[in-house]
Amino acid sequence: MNRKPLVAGMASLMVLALLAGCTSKQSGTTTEPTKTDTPKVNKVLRYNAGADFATLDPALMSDLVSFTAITPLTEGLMRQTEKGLVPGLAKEYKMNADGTVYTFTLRDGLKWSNGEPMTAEDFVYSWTRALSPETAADYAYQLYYIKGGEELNSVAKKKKEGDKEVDNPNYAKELEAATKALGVKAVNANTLEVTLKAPTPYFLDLTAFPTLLPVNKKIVEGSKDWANKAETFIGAGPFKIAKWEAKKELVLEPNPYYYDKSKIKLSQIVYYMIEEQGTALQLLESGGLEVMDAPPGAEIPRLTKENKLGKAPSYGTYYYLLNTSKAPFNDVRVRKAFAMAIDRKSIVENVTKGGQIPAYALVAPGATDPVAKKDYREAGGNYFKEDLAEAKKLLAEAGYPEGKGFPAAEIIYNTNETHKAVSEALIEMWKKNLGITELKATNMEFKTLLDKRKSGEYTISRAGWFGDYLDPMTYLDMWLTGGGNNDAHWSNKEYDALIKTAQTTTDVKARFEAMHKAEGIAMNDMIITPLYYYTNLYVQSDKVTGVYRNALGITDFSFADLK
Amino acid sequence: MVRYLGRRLFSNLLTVWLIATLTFGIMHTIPGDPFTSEKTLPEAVLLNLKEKYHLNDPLPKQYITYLGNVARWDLGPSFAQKGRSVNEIINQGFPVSARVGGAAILVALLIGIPLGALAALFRDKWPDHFVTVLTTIGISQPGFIIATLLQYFVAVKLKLLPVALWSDQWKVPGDGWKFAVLPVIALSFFPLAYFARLVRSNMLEVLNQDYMRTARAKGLPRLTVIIKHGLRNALLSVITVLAPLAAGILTGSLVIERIFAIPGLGKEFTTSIFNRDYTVIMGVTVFYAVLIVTFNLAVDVLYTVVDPRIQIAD
Repeated sequence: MNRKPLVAGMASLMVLALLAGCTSKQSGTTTEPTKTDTPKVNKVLRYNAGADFATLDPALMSDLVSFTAITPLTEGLMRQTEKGLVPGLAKEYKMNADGTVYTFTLRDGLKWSNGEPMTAEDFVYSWTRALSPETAADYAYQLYYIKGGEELNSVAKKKKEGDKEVDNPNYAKELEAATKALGVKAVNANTLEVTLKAPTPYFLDLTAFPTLLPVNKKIVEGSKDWANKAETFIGAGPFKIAKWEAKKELVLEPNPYYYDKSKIKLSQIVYYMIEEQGTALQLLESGGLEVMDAPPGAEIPRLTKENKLGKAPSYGTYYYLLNTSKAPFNDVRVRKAFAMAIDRKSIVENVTKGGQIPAYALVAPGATDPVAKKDYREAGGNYFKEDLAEAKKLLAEAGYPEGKGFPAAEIIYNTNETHKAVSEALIEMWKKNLGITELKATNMEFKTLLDKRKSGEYTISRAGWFGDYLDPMTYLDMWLTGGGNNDAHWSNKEYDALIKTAQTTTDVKARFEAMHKAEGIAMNDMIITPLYYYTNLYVQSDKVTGVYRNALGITDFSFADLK
Repeated sequence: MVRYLGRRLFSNLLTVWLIATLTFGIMHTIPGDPFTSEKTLPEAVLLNLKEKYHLNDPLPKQYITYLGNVARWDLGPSFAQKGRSVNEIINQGFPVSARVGGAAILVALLIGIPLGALAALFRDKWPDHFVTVLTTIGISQPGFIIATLLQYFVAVKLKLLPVALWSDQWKVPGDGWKFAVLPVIALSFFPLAYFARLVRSNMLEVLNQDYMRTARAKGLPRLTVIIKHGLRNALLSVITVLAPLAAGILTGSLVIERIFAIPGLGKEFTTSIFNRDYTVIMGVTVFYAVLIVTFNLAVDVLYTVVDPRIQIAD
């Protein structure tokens, strides 16, 4: 090849680039800092949310990006903090003897971010609304623990009559009756009484969950898209919205009506919605951003070496499903052999490289076991060991000595670089350790994968689960017989009975005993092949302090500071 | 002319209807629906959602309602972007994408056509080689490589321009326009190379035609011959490809918009499919179809301007 044109080509590229911009102001943002009175120094924290959030309506949101966005903007009766669950808008609560009635007392003089007073009625309205079938909230079931909650959410506009669906003539009446019967009452302006269906030890945690955050009746009924606009949105959190441009940026400023505004240090929080994490990292490293999550996989080794990678715990388990209802994996010995023949340390160190923790159980670390007074995982321990000799023995017993005669099988995973690399590593390990040669991996779109998993049309599938609340139940109730998330299509009567006990007993000791025992049964049947517990990775400027990241994946900047 | 336009308008409507129908059919056959998620929703919640978005109605009823709404250009609410309508999504994203895309096409035309002409005139000399290399890079390199390289060298290393993000304020003096420079360059690379190649090969063909020699022989200056007879003929090919190309570029590039974090329409095409966001899939597809047929019609009319030999007959 003639070299001259190449040089000329490069030169022209440079010329184009130089023509493009002659000044060199290094700026990543056009945000004009808004004036605020509280903090004197201008402290702007810019964070990449990683995706757009369409709505800030707490009842309708169902993704972590929105959860992180709503956290500084409003508050629940309780609030998740570094020190655990602390009173939020409620200054205190009382629980009756059998754990079914909670009485919350709101703080005095609570105000919405527009200055209007907030009362217990606001909570009655918000929770009724979140449960109303008209709202059609994805997470309405987080309120099913309240007496009459599921019933209200299940009032249907249409009824089945034979094969036909007809309009339910009593719809309005049924809705009204169910609303009245709901176990949420405002005793007076400051007191909220909540009656639960059954004792629910994690109900207090749920009051900090987005679906249960308060909304303002006048605002909600005032306009249909109140939660999509800066002008109409109001909350009761440490911050309020200053500016919001769809898919571009959301700018927050301190809420002057917040009850504890002296704790607020930042003058502004800016959320960007950059989807390409590589771009976000470039921006962060050139000073246009302070915090981002999930840096691109290729950059992790470098960031680790430069000591720039932050790791936060995550209440999530990454696992494989081996279809328990189909040969060859309907044989528990085969499932165990596969689980034991994986080098998990090598996977987290050489493949995923994000500080994940090898997993030998179902429930990820993160929730406390109040009986053992330590982390539930620590209390429960591991349920199996990696053991090649044992794995080979089990496989031989199942009729496949040295992997001979093992049928060809397909691993399915949703298209993603990490999932691909993990599947390749597993194929390699199972081949080397068990002599299984006929495995191949196929990628597919996420919803197609889910469809196959739910209908049981798979042999081996990649899967993962993140808890909705910090209690082992969020991992355990999914494996109930016929459960909507029981993608292993597994069923065990003893297990079902234990979970039922744990769900209804008021005795904490019996409850945790039942949960540990149930997990033991599931793991003894190896209904899933655990690989690792997730971690949340982030990159953060050294100037930032006081960011709270909880294991559920929510990042709270409310009381963060910039040095 | 009027009858011709009327006929074309009718066939365009038919095309758009066909596309809408096909999309509707294919969309409902792919596995999963808008509410399929890792966490299976309780029965009651699912029913409420389906009732709210009228997914409980029989498909033919959904289809007819949908066509009626499209006719009134009411594209419905998005499933995934709760509280936003598809009209809002298009109204917000398209102007952004169209600005970047329009600028990119302009750059591609203004640079690509002269480059192609130059290459043809100096065939096998260094300008031709230079253009060949440039266009080979432009056509063979995927957009994300060019975009990433520009971002890294121009923005991160040289700090001449912002790394990413977007501003609608392009007025000078002001910094807003700077956000658009790199995306426009990156986006214009392919069409620029494409135009240059087209013009070059067509020019070469035209330059050898008898009428070119005749024109020179009757004493017309070389430049006049090249521009009036040569370039004009060569441009026809550019106009032919312009319509689909412009519709594609104006509606936004997924890659470029992702890399530079531009709040355009480009990514809606793919993310809506991943999310099974039915109304958005339908909305953006129909919108795209309308743009293409409109541009095609515009191009056919434009032919008659560039080449008087082409006439629209009734």
